[in-house]
Amino acid sequence: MKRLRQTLILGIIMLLLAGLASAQTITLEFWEGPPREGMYEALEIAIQAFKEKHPNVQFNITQVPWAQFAEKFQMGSITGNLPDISDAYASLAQSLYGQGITMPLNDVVEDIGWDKFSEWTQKLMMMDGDVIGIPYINPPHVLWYRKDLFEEKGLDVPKTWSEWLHAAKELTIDTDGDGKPDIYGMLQYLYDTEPQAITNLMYTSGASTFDENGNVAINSPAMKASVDFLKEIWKYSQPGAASATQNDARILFMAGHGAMIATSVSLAAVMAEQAPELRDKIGVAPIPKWEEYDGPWTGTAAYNWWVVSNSTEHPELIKDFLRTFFDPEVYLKYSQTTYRGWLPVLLPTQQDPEFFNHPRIAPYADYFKVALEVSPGSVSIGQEYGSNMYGGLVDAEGVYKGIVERAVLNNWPTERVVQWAEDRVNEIVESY
Amino acid sequence: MNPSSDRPKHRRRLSLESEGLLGWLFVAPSLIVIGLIIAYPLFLTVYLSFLNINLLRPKAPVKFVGLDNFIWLFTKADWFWKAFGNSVVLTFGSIALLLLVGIPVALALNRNIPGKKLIRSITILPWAVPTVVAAIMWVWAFNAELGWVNKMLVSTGIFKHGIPWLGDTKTSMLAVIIAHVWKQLPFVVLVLLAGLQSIPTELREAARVDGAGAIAEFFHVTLPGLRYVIWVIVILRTIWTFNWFDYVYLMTGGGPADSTLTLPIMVYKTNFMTFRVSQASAIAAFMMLILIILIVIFTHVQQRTAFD
Repeated sequence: MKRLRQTLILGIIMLLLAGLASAQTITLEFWEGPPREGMYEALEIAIQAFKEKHPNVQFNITQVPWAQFAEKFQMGSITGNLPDISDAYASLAQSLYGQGITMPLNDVVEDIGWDKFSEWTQKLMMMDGDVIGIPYINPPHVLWYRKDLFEEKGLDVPKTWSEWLHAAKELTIDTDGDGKPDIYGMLQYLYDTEPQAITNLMYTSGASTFDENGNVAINSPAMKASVDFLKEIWKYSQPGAASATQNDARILFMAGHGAMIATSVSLAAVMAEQAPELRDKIGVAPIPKWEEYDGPWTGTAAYNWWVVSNSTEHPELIKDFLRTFFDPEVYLKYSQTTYRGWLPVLLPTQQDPEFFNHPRIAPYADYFKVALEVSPGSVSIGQEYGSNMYGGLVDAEGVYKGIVERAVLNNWPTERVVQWAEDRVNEIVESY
Repeated sequence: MNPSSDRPKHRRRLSLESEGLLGWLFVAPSLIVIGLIIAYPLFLTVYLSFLNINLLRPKAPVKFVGLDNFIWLFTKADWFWKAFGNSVVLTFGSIALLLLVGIPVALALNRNIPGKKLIRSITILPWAVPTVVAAIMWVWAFNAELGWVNKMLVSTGIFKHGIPWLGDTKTSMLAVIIAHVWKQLPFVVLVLLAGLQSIPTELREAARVDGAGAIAEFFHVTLPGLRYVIWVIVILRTIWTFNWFDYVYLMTGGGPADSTLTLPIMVYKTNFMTFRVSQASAIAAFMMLILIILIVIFTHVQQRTAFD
C-alpha cells in the first residue's frame, strides 16, 4: 500500500514537471523573406546556436514574399498578429519604426560593438537617436561586364562615365547584320520599385535627394549630370528596358544579349546555380563615377535588416537572439552559408580570410572583394545621409522611376525633369 | 361579440408571424456572414475615406475631413485621370475583344466538329493557369528579344524587328488587354456556349426554311438569343476588370510612364506603399461609385431592350 502511494505521488510529480516544462516552451514568431539558395540553412545555424543557450525556445518561421511585407505588417498591426522578429528592407524598417510598430535596438548594437559596423551602416540604422533595426547583409550594386567582349574590342573596364558611355556604344553590336543589335552595351530595367538606373548614377555623381540636414537637395548640378548621362547611356539599352524587371535584364545578360549591367552582386548566386560556365567570361567592377565626383566607390545598397516588434512578449529573448546572430563565429558561418552575394556587414567578417576561403565563396571571391570595396559607400535608396522617413516614401511615390520615365520615355529636357523631381519631393515632405 | 369568430384569424396571424420569424431565422446566418464580409468592409471603406488616417503619422489625431480626400483625388493627384482613363480603356477594350473572339469560338465549339470535347477542354486551360504564372508567361511572350510573339511576327514578315510590347507606352496597354483576353476567354466562351445551347433549334430551322443564310441566321436568331448572356458577361466582366489588380501589376507595375496604371494599382500603392489609408479608401470608394453607376445604366438599358 505504501509502495503504491509512493508510486502515485512520484507519477503525479513527474506529470506536473512535464506540464511545467511544456508550459515553459516559448515560440517566437519569425517572418523571413522567400527562400533562396542557402538562406534558410544559414538562418538555422544562428537558431541552433541560440537554442544551445535557450533550449526551451522555438521559432515559427513564416515565409513572406518581399512585395507583401509592408501589407502584412500593416494588417498585423491592426489585428495584433505581428511577428516577434522580422526581416525587412531599409524603407520598411523606417516606416515600421515611424509607425511605432518596432522597437529601438540601441542596447543590442552596443553589445555587438558599434565599431564592428561601417560608419555609413551606423548612420543608416539610426533615426532620431534610436537604432531602428540592424542591417545584417548587403549585396550592393556593381557593374557586371562581359570580359570576352571587352577583350575583343580592346576596351578597358570603365572607371569614369565617359569611358562607360564609350564602352556601351562600342559594345552595342549587330552580330547578324540585320540592322538590329543583338548585344546591347548596357542592359537597363525599370520595373515598379526598381529605379536603380537613376539611383546608381545619383550616388556615383554625389547627387542626393536630401542634404545632411534633411532639406530637399535633389535639384543639383550632380543630379542634372546624372539625368543627362542617363539619357545618353539609355540609347545603348535593350528595347523594352522601361518595363523590364531587374530579373528580366539579368536573364538577358546571362543569355548573352548584353555587355554590361549594373545590378546587385547577388547575381553571383544566380550564376552559380544556373550558368556556372559563365564564371570566367564575366567580371565585376565598381560602377564608374562621374568625372567631377571624387567620393568613394559607391552604388545602390540593398541591405536586409532585422527588426523587432514592439508587441513582442519576449524582447530580451529576441535581443539575445540578435546578439547570438552577430556573434563573430556564428556570423562568419552564417555569411559563408547564406545566399551568395549577401555580403557581411560586420567589418571583421568582411576582412576575415576564412570568409573568402570557404568553398562556396572562393570561386566568386574576386566578385565579392570588389563589392566589399563598394559596400561601405553604397547607399540605400533615398537615404544618402543616413535613415530618414522620407527616402523610402520618395521611392514608393515613384519619384525616381518618374525621373527615368520623363527623361528617356517622354524626352523632357533635363532642367524640367529635375524641377519636377524637386517639386514632387517637396510635396511628399509637406504631405507627411 | 363572438370570441370564437376571432380565434382562427388570431391563430392565422400568429402562424404568419411565426413563419416570417422562422424565415428570418433561416436567412440570419447568411445575412450575418454577408454583413461581416461584404457590408462591413464596404461601409468601413467609405467611412475611412472621410477621415485623415495616414499610418506614418500614428500620433496625429484622427479627424473627419469631409470631402478633402476626394478633392485631393480630383485636383491634386496628377496620375488620377490617367489611371481612370486607363481603367476604362482596359475594361471596355478587353470586353470588346473578348466578345469579338469569344462569340466565333463559342459558335465553332457549338457545332458538331471532331474532337469537340478535347478542344473544349483545351479552351478552358488558360483559366486554370495561376495568375502569377500567366503574367510571367506573357511578360516573356512580349519580350522584344526572346518573346515568341515577336518571333512569330518577324518570321511571318509582319514586322521587320521585334518590338518591346510592354516597354513602349504606345503598345503596353494593348499587350495587357491581349493577355487579359487570353486568360478570361474560357469564362466568356463557356457562358456563351451555355447561351447558344439554350436557343431552341426550331428557331434556327424555321429561319433556314424561310431562306435565311448563315449570316442572317446569326444576326436574327443567334445574336438576339444571346442578348441576355452577353449582358451578363458585360456586367460581370466590367465589375471584375475594373477592379482587376494582380495581372496588370505583375505584368507592368503600371508602367512604362503610367501607360498601364489603373485605379486598383493606385489603391494598392497608396495604401500599402505610402500608407495613406484614407486617400486609398477615397480611390476605392470612387471606384465603387463608378461601378454602381455603370451597373445601374447597364441594367436600365438591358430592361429597356428587353421591353422593346
